[in-house]
Amino acid sequence: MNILKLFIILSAVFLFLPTANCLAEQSAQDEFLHKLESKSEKIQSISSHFIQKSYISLFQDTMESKGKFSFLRPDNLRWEYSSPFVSGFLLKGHEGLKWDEATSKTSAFNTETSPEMAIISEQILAWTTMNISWLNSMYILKVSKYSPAIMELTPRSAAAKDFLNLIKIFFSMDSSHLKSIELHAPDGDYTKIDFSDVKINERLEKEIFEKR
Amino acid sequence: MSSDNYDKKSSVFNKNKLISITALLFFIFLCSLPLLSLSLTEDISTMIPRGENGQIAEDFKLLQKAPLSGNVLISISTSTATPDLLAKVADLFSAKMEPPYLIQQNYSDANPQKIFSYLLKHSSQLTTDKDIKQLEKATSETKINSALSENKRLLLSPSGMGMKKIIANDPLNLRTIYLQKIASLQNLPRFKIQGKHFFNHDKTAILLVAKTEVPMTDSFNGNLLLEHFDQIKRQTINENKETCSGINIALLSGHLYTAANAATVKRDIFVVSSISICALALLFIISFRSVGALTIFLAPGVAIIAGLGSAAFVFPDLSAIVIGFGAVLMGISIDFAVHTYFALADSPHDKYAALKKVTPPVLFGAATSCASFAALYISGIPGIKQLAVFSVAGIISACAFALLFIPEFCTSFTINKSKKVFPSSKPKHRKFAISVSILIVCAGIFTAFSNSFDTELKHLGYISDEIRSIENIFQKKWGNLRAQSMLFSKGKTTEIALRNNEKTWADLNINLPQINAVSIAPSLPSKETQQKNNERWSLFWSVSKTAKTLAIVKEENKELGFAPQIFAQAIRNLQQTSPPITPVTMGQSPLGFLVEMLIPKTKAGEEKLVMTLLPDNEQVIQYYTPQKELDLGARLISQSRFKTTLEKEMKTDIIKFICFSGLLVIALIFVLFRNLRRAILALFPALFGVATTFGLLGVLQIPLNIFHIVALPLVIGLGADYGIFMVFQEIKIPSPSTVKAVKISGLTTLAGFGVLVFAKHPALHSLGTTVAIGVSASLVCAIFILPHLLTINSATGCKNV
Repeated sequence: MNILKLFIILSAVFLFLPTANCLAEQSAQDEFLHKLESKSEKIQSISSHFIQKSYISLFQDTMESKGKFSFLRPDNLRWEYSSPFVSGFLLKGHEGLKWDEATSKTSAFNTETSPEMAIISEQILAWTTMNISWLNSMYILKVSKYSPAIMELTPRSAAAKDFLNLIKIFFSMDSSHLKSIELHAPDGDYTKIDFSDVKINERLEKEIFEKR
Repeated sequence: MSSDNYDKKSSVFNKNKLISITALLFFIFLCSLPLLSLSLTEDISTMIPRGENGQIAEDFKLLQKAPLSGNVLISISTSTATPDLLAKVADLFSAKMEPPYLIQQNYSDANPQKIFSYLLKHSSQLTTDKDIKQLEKATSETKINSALSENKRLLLSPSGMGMKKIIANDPLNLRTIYLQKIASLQNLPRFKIQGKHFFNHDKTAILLVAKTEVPMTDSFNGNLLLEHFDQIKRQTINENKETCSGINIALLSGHLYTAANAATVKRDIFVVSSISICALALLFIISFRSVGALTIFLAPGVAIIAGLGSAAFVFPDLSAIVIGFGAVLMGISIDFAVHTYFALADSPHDKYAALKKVTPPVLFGAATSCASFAALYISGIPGIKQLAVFSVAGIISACAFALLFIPEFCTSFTINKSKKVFPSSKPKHRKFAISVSILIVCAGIFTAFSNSFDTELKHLGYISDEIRSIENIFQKKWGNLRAQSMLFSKGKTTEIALRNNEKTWADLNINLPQINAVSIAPSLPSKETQQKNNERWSLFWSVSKTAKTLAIVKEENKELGFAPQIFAQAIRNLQQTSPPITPVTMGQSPLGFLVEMLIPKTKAGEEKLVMTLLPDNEQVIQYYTPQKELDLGARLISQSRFKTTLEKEMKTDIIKFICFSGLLVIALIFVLFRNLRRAILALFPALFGVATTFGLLGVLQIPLNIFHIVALPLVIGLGADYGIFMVFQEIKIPSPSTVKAVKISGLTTLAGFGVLVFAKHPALHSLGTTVAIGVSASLVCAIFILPHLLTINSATGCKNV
């Protein structure tokens, strides 16, 4: 009888242990994401340099590009490349400007009428400000490592999965900002963006979100 | 005729009672026969004038083919939640939708990447002369260089991952040429498409477009659909109330109107029948108090069966609206029975004499009522024509019933204690009464000219406050989704319709280039054009041209860092042609929504249609003249033009049949009386009733609709009947029961369907309003004003002729 009781108890322990483990993991992830969001809410501005390495099969070799990124709450964004091309865009609310030195063209756009620019800026803003609820609606979030933190995002939409099956976000040691981000395509190609010289809540000239 | 004679006749009546019942039953059986093959239509189009060569009816059919018209639209909105939460709520709601009620439509296939691929795959079928010039430019060394440089920039930009497949398939950026094929889509009402969701401009609402297997006119299953919607709406709101407050989920589709109308008619029937039965019972208790009088209540039944049978015999497709309406109108048929009954009650022992006395006015009354309703047959509205046949057959049968069967069936009568003979004495205040009545008639006629017509089709049905609020939500969040006009290119076959559509599009680009139109012509040319395009494409992408392009691309790849052979297959693929595009293949492609929207489904044997959407403005309406439409093999359907044409046609039609009805009644009364004074006096209650109806509706600012107008012959007919009976008092021996019979007739009419004024449904309410005003006025005129007028130039006051 005692053996039977022991067997039942052990079975229950073995059965519920993984579930409990899962629940504990989920709870740790929720706590982490909550902290991350709280920290992000305190961010008023970010500026940083970045190096982007593209491992894309269309190219003979890995392509490297460099640029600068700036953000100012609530919705000002500037993303520009300095090499190998000089190009970029800025956004202030719904209105924006994009430029390309190769064509010597600077053109205005509006996110209402330019859906592709709306999607790009929406994504960059969500990653950099860690808008967890937005990210959660678009991706399945998984924190794969806590110190330094690594977060994996899998798109929920089948259309997005067609060209992007995983986004990996690498955080700084104190999880105060993004260290790098990897965008993985289903065919194995990926792009990695490393951020450096990250400055948080430093004064940014409003002009940089208005003029090229 | 002596009393002995009557007894002989009476015994004959008694002997023949059984034969009469058999004859009546046989008549009812005969009338029921056409009903066996009767096909009922619930379509409102029977109440729309056909117009010249049936053009209005044809336009009305085309109007039903507007984009989204067969779908169920669901708007999910909130003032508090973020777009993402809204999208989550929409997904939860969509997941709960179940066939056959609601079937989710998935437009997620219509993403840019899939659309680019589709257009590139079919580029050979879509290449026009103009495109060849652009292709020549696009394959020059400079343009290839800039296209590849642009590709590199795109691949290294934040949108690079999304563009990789597109660039691999189209390194020369030919998509910019072929995207022009769907450029006109930018002229559609603006939705923000995010994933599979259609957001409104400020992202406070999501629109779900659902299909359904429930027909729009099926009120029973329509109710089940609405219950299913309410259930999943409640579940969705409950599941999300913690995260998302103030969610509003609203459904807009034809089912909403059908269900509301069916429920309202049911409620109206209950309310109106209850009031009507109470009023008729009260009237019976006060005025008849005799079992024999119950027979007169059979008259409307006989009239309805006869009307229905005759209408079904003449029109195999009978409108349900007409049946309902006709049945109500046949309430007047009780009048003949009432007059016969009271005449018999006056001299119960001399039925023959009573019949002899009452027959002329009953026949006169029936003749004028028939004339009044027969005039409706000249109307261009099919339903009104059906109503004319229904009513005339009903009135004739009711008249025959009153004169042939009432004397047989009525054996007991109310004893009339009143000895008051018309006109009992010279009425008081004659001048005042006459002046007031003339003033009312003049004011009514004057107001009639300022009455407005309500030709809004949806006002013919019942629209509840709830539906109105849903319409407001949709208007506020999505604007008017059906504000565009539609140009239908027609053809016996789809190929001819597509050719006409191309012709229309070309004409539009030349003559109205500034107009924002949406056309499928550039992305779905006719087979003939596709063949020409294919030949053009094959000629351009010759072996040498392909080899040359490959060489340039290879050279540029080296310079820009692309893998050397990475685009070779994409360039070689340009030499191939793909199978022709048909509405079926395109319907299954990422551009399938265009086919669904612009190529309406047609039945076998019907003309094929291809639609172009245009703004609904004066410039477009002016441009598409009948000649232009004929040249293009197309027809413009504009809501505003249709409304104007319909209003004009209805006004003309109504004036035509009302005038004809009035003239026929006037002519008939003059012929019957052969005395100008008596004819005018007999007509006066009808004129008074019509003028008062127009006047009061004008004063109350109630615009006239088709149902008010259809009820007018009733007022004319009944008014004339009252006049005839009262004027006959001058001709025949005055009877104390005649005034009572007129009063009872009027009151039964008011109790029967004047009470429809309490109905909520606009059709029944309009009928009730017209009858309540018109019949009351005619009755008041016949009883209180006509006696004054009859004393003018009447030497004897009452005389025997």
